[in-house]
Amino acid sequence: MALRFAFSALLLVVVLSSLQTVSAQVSDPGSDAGILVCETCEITSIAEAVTAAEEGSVIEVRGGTYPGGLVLDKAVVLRGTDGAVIDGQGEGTLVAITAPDVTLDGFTLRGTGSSHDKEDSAVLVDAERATISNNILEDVLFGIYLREANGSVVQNNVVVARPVDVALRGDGIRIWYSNDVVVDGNQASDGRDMILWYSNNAVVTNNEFNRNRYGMHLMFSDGALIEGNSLNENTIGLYVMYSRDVTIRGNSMSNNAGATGGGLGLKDVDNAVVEGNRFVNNQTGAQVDTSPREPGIENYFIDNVFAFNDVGIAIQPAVRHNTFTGNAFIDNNEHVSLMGRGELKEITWAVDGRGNYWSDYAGYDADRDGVGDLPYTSQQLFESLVGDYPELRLFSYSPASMAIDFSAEAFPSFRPQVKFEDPSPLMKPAASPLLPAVAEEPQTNRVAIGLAGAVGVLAAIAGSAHLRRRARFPIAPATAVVHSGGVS
Amino acid sequence: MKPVISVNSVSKYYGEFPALDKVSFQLGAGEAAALWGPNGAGKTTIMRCLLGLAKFEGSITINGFDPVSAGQQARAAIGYVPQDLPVQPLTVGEMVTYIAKLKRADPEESLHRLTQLGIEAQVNKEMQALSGGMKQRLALALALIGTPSILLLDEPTANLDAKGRAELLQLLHELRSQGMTLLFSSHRPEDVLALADRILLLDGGVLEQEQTPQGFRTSLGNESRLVVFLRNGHRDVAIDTLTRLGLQGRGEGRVVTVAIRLDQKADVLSSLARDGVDIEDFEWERYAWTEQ
Amino acid sequence: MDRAVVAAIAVKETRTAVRHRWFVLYTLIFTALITGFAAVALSASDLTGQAGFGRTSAGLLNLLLLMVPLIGLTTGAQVIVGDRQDRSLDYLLAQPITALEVFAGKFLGAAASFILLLLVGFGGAGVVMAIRGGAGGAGDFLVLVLLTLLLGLAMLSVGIAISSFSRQTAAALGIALTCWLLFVIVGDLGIMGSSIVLGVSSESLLTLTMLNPLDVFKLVSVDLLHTSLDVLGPAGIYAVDRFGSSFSYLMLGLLALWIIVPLPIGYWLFKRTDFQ
Repeated sequence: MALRFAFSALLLVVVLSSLQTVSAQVSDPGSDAGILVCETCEITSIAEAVTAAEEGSVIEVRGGTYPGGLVLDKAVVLRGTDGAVIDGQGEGTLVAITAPDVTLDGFTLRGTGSSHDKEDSAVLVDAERATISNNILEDVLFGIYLREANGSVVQNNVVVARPVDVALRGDGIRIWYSNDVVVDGNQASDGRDMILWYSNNAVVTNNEFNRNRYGMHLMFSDGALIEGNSLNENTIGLYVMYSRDVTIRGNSMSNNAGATGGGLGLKDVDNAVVEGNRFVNNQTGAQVDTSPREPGIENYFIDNVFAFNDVGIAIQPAVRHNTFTGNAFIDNNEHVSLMGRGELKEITWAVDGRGNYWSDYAGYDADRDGVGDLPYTSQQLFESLVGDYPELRLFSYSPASMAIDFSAEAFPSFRPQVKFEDPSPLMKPAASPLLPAVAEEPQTNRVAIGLAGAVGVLAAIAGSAHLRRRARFPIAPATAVVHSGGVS
Repeated sequence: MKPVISVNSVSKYYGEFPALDKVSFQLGAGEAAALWGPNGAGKTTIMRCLLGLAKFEGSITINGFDPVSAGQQARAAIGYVPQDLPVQPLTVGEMVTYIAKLKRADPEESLHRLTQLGIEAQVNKEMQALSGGMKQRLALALALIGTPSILLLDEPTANLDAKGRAELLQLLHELRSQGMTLLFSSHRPEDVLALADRILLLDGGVLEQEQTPQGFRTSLGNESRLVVFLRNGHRDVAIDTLTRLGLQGRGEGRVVTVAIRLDQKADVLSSLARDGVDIEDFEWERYAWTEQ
Repeated sequence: MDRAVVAAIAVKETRTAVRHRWFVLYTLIFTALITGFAAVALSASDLTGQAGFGRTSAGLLNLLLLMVPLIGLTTGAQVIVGDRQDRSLDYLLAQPITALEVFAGKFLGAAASFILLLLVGFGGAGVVMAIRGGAGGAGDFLVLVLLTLLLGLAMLSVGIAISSFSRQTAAALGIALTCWLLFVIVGDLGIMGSSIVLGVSSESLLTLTMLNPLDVFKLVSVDLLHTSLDVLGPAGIYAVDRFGSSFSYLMLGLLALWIIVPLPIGYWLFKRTDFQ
């Protein structure tokens, strides 16, 4: 626990200090010659202020609502205060940044147009080293769109997509051909995708991309660091394609439940390190497809938690050179699934005598070194039956399917072929300090259900006891009514 | 006087087997009638028909109600005492209040029935802890809940010892003297003679005859029934032998039944043996009634 | 039908059921199972961060799936035939009440004692969840409670229908256990086998399983507790395509039918058998 905090703190310091150096370059005006815009000021229009500004000016927009269609064509700092709003009234792009070193900070941006062809955006950046920070984006098609904007920073923005059908939505954050960008602390949920294409060395940290189509879609982008993000309840949490040197650490990729969806997908990815992530309750936790594609490259899955997924990890039969160590496979319906016919080859399940934790491991640890003395093998009969007859999945979770597995346990001749073998299974799941923190459960919930349960038990027990207790009747004196019952 | 119970040409078949065959009788208010006959004669079947527990041909009315189509009203007039009260996991008091609710009677007041029958001290006892006599008194107490005008008793004394039997008969006698209509079945002539005004003689589902207590007593006097089980096919020989002795034997399969005087038993058996009838076994019922 | 009479019979039935030692045994087993399910499946750990529906939960759900129908069928099967065998049914029917009142009272009494049993089990599980954490799964838990209740009552109904025409308790229990085996394992294995041999379509497969109340229970539990029916493969996807969001309602309706339909059948058999 302490280790995890220390690590997170260290990480935060590193990220923040790097951000400060970036913003120091662009947003320090070097003088107090600021321009003030407000509804009762001398300058009441942002466009006017920009025209009047010089390179490096700070323009403060204090309160009020201003039209969209702005073009920032010089290196200014445009800062909204007192709830300044830029409202495009459903027309076009709100703010276009065409000069390097622009800062856009503290605005509420709302009401873009709805043209997918023109890619109507709240903020469209076509220049280097832009900083987009602390803005709230509402009712927008595309949110923040970096288009050839190397070295830009997108930080602490909140994007609320237009509530239309997912195919008609735009992307909350979209990054094309922009190297060395930092995307940190943003929330872009309920939109279409978060896109990062053709952009090398991106740092994507501490963002929340939930309930989108792709939580994050990364393509042709090498050297990315994706860390501490929440990528939950999307169709697919994170999909990485045609990229190399990708580090995926400490993210939560859970409840991504589409029929073909899942937490993480790797397709044609080389030298990926997937470490300390949590994959819970997805259709498929992680899917590995032709990764790595180049010879001599190894991908690593280290200390991740795969729990309650229908399939923990799905691997294409042609995949080689992946190493799995220290991962915890907990209660997945199927821990590792082979997608199609074939067999798993050249996959490493243990490094230096350290394998993975498997919740259904039935071996023992006589020498108490934390590693099971028998290898873990995967050979569920029902699973393999389902592999051959997919329609029989209908009987998952049924006593009949359990009976089939049990018969295979009891009669070795029924046992299917071993799918893979972990030579050094861990006896306990490894708790990586990278794993994202767990939200505390609200205490009121617990108290409520505890009380309800207690009341239920007490009521039922009291009721049963009342019914079990013999009723006591007073004994009438024998002389009282002898033979006077009377019959009609 | 309008009859309380009216049974008109009632027949009941279990498959081909006639359990009752065109039985008719009427019972007026305050009358006490006994159903008399061997096992399987149809006594219990009549009771089931009266209670609406069995379907039948013919018609029955209880206080003018049809036990099948208006069973609830018909049964409201009847207090039923089974041969052996089914024991429930309840105390006596709980059972009384339960039956009282079913009869829509006041549960508190119904508890006084226990006092009436002298078992008020048992009120908090488990039913299964009751002796046979106590249980039968409870059954009677339960039957009396809701003040029915008819008591229907199926072999009420069958499971009682001599003392219990005497006490129960005493109770029933009192009820009768209070004007209750009684219909009961019994194996014991003492019961019949103690309680019944009328005796309905049943055999093989047929109401053969109705007797007064005097007639019943006379017919019992020196008659009994001998049932002989034959080892081989000497039935005709046996019947011939009986005819020679002046007796009318009735044969069916390997069984021959004959009504005889009490003192004839040894004579008959030895005559049969003498004539080469191979007797496997026999039964002798002392209080059979004549079939003539 | 006199409600006071029905209530009196129901209360008496509940009372005698609760006084039975089987009731205590069943309650203990059921409580242990459902509490285990709550502890394992519905509470989050530091490691997983949230509760989930996995193999262990499925295993416990399976135990529930074995226990609840077993309790429901066997208790239901003894309700009427037991009384018939010790002749207390005749005695009851000899009272000034109707056969319908007797039947309704018997069913309600059996149902009430069954609900008491479930309440103890589920309540205990609630307490465990509160102590151990996992109240976040409270909604799921409530769904499970209601579903189990429906399944249990359905099995009770079937049991009572069996009881209605049986002459011997042993025979009724035999039929009940046969039904149980059929519902629990034999039916599914049969469908699986014929599916492999004959190649049954997803549609027919789904329809066939929908005839089995236990499968219906499982389908609706997976639909409501799990993220989606996709885990059930092609047939599950077909179900989603064909019925969409109304699938759960359809399944709940089917379960309700399993409660309702056996009752008039049982009543008819009861009258036929006891009023010959």
